[in-house]
This record gives sequence, C-alpha cells and structure tokens, in this order.
Amino acid sequence: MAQWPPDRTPNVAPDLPTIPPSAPPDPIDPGWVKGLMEEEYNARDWREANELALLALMDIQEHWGYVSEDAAAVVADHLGVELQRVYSLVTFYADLRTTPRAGNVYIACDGAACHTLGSGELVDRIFDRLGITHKGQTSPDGRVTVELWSGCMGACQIGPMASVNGRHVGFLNPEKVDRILDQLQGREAGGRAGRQAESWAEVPRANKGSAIR
Amino acid sequence: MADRSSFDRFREQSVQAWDALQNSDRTVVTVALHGGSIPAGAEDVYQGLRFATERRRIPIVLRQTGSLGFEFAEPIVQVKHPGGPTVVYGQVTPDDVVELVDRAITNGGVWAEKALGWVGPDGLVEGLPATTSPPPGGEAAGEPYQGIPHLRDHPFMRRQTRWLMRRWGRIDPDSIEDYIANGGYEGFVKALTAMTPDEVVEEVKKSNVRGRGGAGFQMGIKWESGRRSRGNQKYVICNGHEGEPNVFKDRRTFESDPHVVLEGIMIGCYAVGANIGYAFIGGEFPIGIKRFKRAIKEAERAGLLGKDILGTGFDCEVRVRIGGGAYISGEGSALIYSVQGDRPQPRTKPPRSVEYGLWGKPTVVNNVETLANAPDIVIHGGDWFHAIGPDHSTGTKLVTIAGPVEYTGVSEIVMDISIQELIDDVHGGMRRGSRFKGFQTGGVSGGCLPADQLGFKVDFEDMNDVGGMLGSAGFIVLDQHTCAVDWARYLMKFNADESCGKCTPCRIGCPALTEVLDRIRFGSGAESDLDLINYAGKQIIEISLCGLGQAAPAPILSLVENYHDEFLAHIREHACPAGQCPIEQAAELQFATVGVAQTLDDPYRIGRDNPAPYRLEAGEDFGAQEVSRAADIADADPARAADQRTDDALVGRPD
Repeated sequence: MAQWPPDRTPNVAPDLPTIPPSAPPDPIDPGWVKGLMEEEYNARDWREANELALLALMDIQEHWGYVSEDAAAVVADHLGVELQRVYSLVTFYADLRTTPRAGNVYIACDGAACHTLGSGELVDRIFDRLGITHKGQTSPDGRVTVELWSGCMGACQIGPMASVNGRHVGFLNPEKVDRILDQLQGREAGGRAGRQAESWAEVPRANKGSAIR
Repeated sequence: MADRSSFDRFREQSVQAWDALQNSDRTVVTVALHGGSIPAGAEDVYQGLRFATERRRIPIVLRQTGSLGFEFAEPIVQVKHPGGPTVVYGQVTPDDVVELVDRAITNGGVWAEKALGWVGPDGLVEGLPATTSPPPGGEAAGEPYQGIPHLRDHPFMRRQTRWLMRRWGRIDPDSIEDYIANGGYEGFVKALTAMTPDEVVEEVKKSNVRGRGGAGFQMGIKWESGRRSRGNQKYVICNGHEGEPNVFKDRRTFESDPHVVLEGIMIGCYAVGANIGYAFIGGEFPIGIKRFKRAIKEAERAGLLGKDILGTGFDCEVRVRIGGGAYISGEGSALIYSVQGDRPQPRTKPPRSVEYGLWGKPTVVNNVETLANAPDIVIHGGDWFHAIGPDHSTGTKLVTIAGPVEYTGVSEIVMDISIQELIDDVHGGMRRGSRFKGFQTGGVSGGCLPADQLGFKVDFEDMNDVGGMLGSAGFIVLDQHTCAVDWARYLMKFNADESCGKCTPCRIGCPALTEVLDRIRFGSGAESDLDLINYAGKQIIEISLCGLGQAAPAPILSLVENYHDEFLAHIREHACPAGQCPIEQAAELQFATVGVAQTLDDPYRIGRDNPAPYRLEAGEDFGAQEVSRAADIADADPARAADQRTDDALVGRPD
C-alpha cells in the first residue's frame, strides 16, 4: 500500500447516531408519494409524463431509500404511464433499489482514483467484517447497508473515500474504516461509543446531498 | 425583460454591484463551497467563519464561490481586505478558522504560511490583452504582495491557461448578477440581437471546436446538420452525465459557473432553431443540480429565458433531467432514451440523433464543456477561437488527473503540451513514495500508456495515434503499487457492471474477460489466456453496438501489450510484482518507470506531512524521487539498463 495519505485529515469518523436493531424500516407511504406527485409532477403532455417518471422515482429513492412496487404503481398511475415501464427503470438504474436498506448506509467509492489508492482492499475488509458478499446487502445485524459506487463521487483528492450516511469521509485506512463501522454498529470503539438514536427521524438518510445553504 | 435596453440596465446594475463588492470598505471573505471542498470540511469553515466574526463583531462580507481548481488545497478561503488584492488561503481546516480570523481577517493582516498566492481584481486572466488574441500563456504576473507570490506563480498554475475557468472561484454560482457583471450572457444577447442563426453556426464552424465529451466530433458540423434537418420541433441536449470514474470537470462546471452552461444551451437552441433545451445531469452531484436549477430560475426572472426573449420573438425553455447512476446514459442515443424516461439502451445508427433523436425529432447533443465554449466563440468570433492551440485541437481543455500526483484537481490547458509536461509541470509530478507506472487515458475507455509514450501531446490527434484517447480528458496516473493485471480486471469489472445488456458481445464478453483476468490474478492463468484476451477483446470491439462497448476492451488490450512482462510474471512465476493480487508470493520485477522530475527546494510544494501548503525549508528531505527515465538509467547505472534490455528481449517486447 502507498504511504499516502497520512493521518492528518480534517475528516474524522463522524459522530453518527445509530439505530436500535429492533426498529423496523419504514414502509413507503403511498399517500406521501401521491402528495409528492400531485405537488411536483404534473405533466403537460404524454411525452413529459414519460420523462418525469425517472425524476419522481429518484425523489422517492432519496427520501425513503428504496422504491417499492406500490410506490412505482402510484407514480405510474399518476403520470398515466404503464407500470412495467416505470418498474423497468427501477430495475435498471444503479441508484434505485427495490428493497429497503438499513438505517446506516455506507457507500464505498470504488472509482478509479480511489481504487488506485487502495479502496478495493478496504471494501474486501468491510465485506469480511460485516459478513456480506455483495454490494447492496445489509449486514446480518440489520444495521449497515453497504453500497459500492463504481462511478466517482467527485472527491478524488481525499481518496480513498466513502459516503457514510450522506457525509463524505476521506483518507480512509483500515483503522479508520473499523472506527466508522464500530460506530455504525453501535460498538465501543476507541473511547467513542455510537450514541443510540431516539427514533428513525434522527437517523440521517443517505444520499441526501449536502446541506449546503 | 422586454428588450435590449432593459438587459443593458440590468447589466449596469450588476456591474455596479460587483464594483461595490470589489471596493467594499469591509473585508470580503469567500469560501469555496462545492463537491470537492465540502467533503474536506468547507461547510464547517463557512459556518465557523460566520460564527466567529459575528461573535467578535468583525464586519465582513461572507460569500460562497465555486472551485478554483485547486482541489488538493481544499478548503480554500479567499480574503480581500479593502484596497488590497485577494489572498487565497489553502487547507483552511475547521480547526484553523479562529487562527485565520486572528491573523488574516482582523486588522488587514495576512497569514503567509497558509497563503497559496494573491489574485488581482481581474482574477487569473489578469493582463489579458485585447480579446482578439488568444489568452496569454503561463507568464508570471505581478510582484509578491507582502511576501506572497501571485497565484499565477504557483506551480500548479504556471503552465495553465485559465479561460473557460476564468470565473471559477470568483463569482457566486448562485448569483446571476455576478455572472453578468463578469461578461455573462453577452454572447447570447449578441447572437440574439445582432446575428442570424446561420451566422452563429458559421462562427462555430470556423472555430473548429471539437466535442469535449469523448468522441471529439466537431460541434459546428453537428449544429449545421441540426440546423438543416427538417422538423417542426427540435431539441438541444446538454450531456452533463459524466458517469466515468475520476472525471469531474463537468460537475465542477455546474457547481462553479452554471450560467455559462445555460448560456451555451440557449445559444445552441437559437442556432439550431430549437426552443426547448435539456440539461441531462448525473444524479451524483446534488450541488451541481441545485445550482443549475437555480440558474434557470434566475435567468427566467431576468427575462433571458421564456417567451419572446428581449423582444426578439425567440422562445426558449430549458429543462433539467437527472440520470440515475448508469454509465451508459452518457452514450448519445442512450442519453436520449434516458431523457425520454425509457431504459437507456443505445440503438443502431444511422439515423443519427440530429435527424431522429428525442421523441423522433432532430436533436443536437453536446457536452457541457463544449457548450460552455459557445458564448466566447460568439463574442470573439470563430477565428479568435481557432487561433488558440493547434489546428486540429482548438481552444482550451479542462483536465482532471486523479491518482498519486501532487496536485489533484481541475486544470485548464491549451492542447499543445505533452503528457509528461501535464503530469510534471501542471499537476506537480508524483507524490512522495510513488513512482510513475502508467497513464490511463480517456476515463476507462482509452489505452494505458507506459512511461516511454509520455512525449505525446495531449490533444485529439496525437493521443489517438499512440493508442490512447483524449476522451473527456479525465486521466488516471498509476504508480508502482498498482498491478497491471489488477487494474485491467478493475476496468473490465467496471465495464461488466455497467454494461446495459442490450448487445451480446458486451453483455457476455465483459464478464468473461473479467473471469479470465481474475484467473490470472489468482495465479492460475495460462499463457494462452493472453491470446484469448486479445481475440475476445477484438471481437467485442468489432461487433459491439455502441461506442462504450467498442471502447470497453481497449484499455485491457493496451495493458496486455504494454505490461506484457507483468502479465507473464503472474502466469509463469505466480508472482505479483506490485503485491496487489491475491497470490502468495510477490517478486521484484523491473518495470519501466519514469521519474517525474521534482525539485526538492521548490518552496510551493505541499509536503504530505506539512499542513502548511507552501514554504518548506529548502533542503528538507522528502525522500528523493529516483530519476529513472530510460536514458537516465543508462547514464546512472549501465548494468541495470542492460538488465532491462535483457528482460525486454526475454519477454519479446519490442524496444
């Protein structure tokens, strides 16, 4: 492994709230989807209706972490597009999931730059530690979902990096990854225990983008 | 806005507001907030600065801006005291905020240790002669200010030509006033009021600007055929998808100067005769999407978008569509399907999209950076643009280099420098502890060039000759820790993952090649596997449907050719010279290395152990780079050079 980078980064493992393992994932509320559609996705013609389907699905994914069949049905119904057309988008795009994910989402960047800096080994380590075999899986304790990003998150200068619950962390090395996973799994780690979240509302949704003004 | 005069009034107001900001009697503090700095803590720096100055009642103007291209030095804070120039501070971590306020914001002080350089009121294109000539090269501009050199003298800047990026890091990307005060929308207004669409197309043709997205197709020809094709409805699509690993110039454009893209789309709409433009943006950059959407709203508010623009009777509407993380969406026809809301799978061509595109109508698809060039071409003319750079590759090019180089980030160059110069003189050479091994071109679709091919120019023609590809000018530098087999397998796996599954050679071929490469990685490959890779790769290239499938095996083939000995080491000796592959034993194998020249007494160098970005003591030991170009090896160590030649002869590699 390269000596770079040193452990002098401004990023520390974020103090993330973790969730009680008993908390079930939220099912998508069809009423919410209906409201979203009526508010933001009103097509002027059939062409635009077809175009808007993907945008609506992305919104649902961003808010709920996945797109269920029911939600896709609401989208199709509102836009007047066939359900199979809408659902074919859900199964095609890498950003859209069909199954719920855990409260904590660890998106490891495996873009080319991060790969040259050793992210492949880190991903192997994460998979081994959490006991999962494929990207998109949730760890058996139901706490962490690991996604693998083969594109680029655009923060190559801090690579190897990852997005943990929507927050970018960089200059990762095995110890740092362990520290982050300890937090996500709610274990004691280096004197910093993950705080138990009070409710689901407190758990940040991943992929939300930055809270820039 | 009803007519031209109201636009002029709006521009005057914007210029006045900009001048008032420049001549403000308060200290102006600007924080770069974009996708590359926020992970490094820029938001915390912003909030910290606001908190600290409010608490201590220091009157400042706090602004946000986009990227300066200096991604290695993020978070960047610019401080301009009344009457002084702007001083750019790099690597201001949230912990440094209090010290920054103490030393650099109060009482007009400067914090020389953190300063990258100073910039005058005109930014980095300072001293630009009459705009009828090409922008100046990298000559030094200006005396040091309180011991701080000009930002142009920073080694990252010396060989760059900032033209497309001239507003980056200066204007607030959320403010249309800032953009207009810095020459924005002049091109669009000029095209709309003083030129016919045919004249615009003619200027663009004269400029010889080639597509920046990968294929390098001439924008003028595309616009002309779009203009000529018949249809009651036409579309212009801006391809801002950028799904390739490690390429982020387009997303920085959206984040730093969204209006220039919008203006390019609007000019394209006018020239082609379309009244609806689309911006297709990858879903991976939420900040860029947000800023671009805001840019559209502001332009509508200013009357530059909508019905009857400036009283000329021209209607234009720009819509934003967002991709869902599929690399294939960047391909022309797939992109059109993606905009339509269908599964993005390419189709056979012809008909080309300029005849039969979005919803069956003539559609012109251009890259973000290509469209961003359009306003300047309209303002200064095609001949002006044609004079920049060599004939076949006109204009400036945004370049991103990732990997273990010293200065990562976005740079802008005239396409007449060699790859070696790009790495050494622009991006600062290799980091300590890294020796150059390979240069991956064209994102993941070009060849991987070894050290002896670095003399070629970074342009559209030269790089194709050498088996590389300019593509979108996103390059990756590999060092000795990257194994050629592992790298090949990574690229193939990427292509296998991202294959859309429509045509068989790519859908089946890419996973099959991944398997073959995996076999070699685990040390159970046979020499016939290399022939298999060559054979299957050429098959995929020949019979794949789309450009991405045809490009998928190209890097693998060049890796097998250029790093043949490394592949053979895996197969014959079951050893991975780089120690990356999961084979038990690792052996030392010589591979061609290039020492990328670095001077130890370079005062600007960002040492990895030194948080202060410049001014290291001269003579400090950084672990000297071995200078080991082939010629230098021969000079310094004839025995080693002879070994190298013997090795080459043994593995049958041509000199």
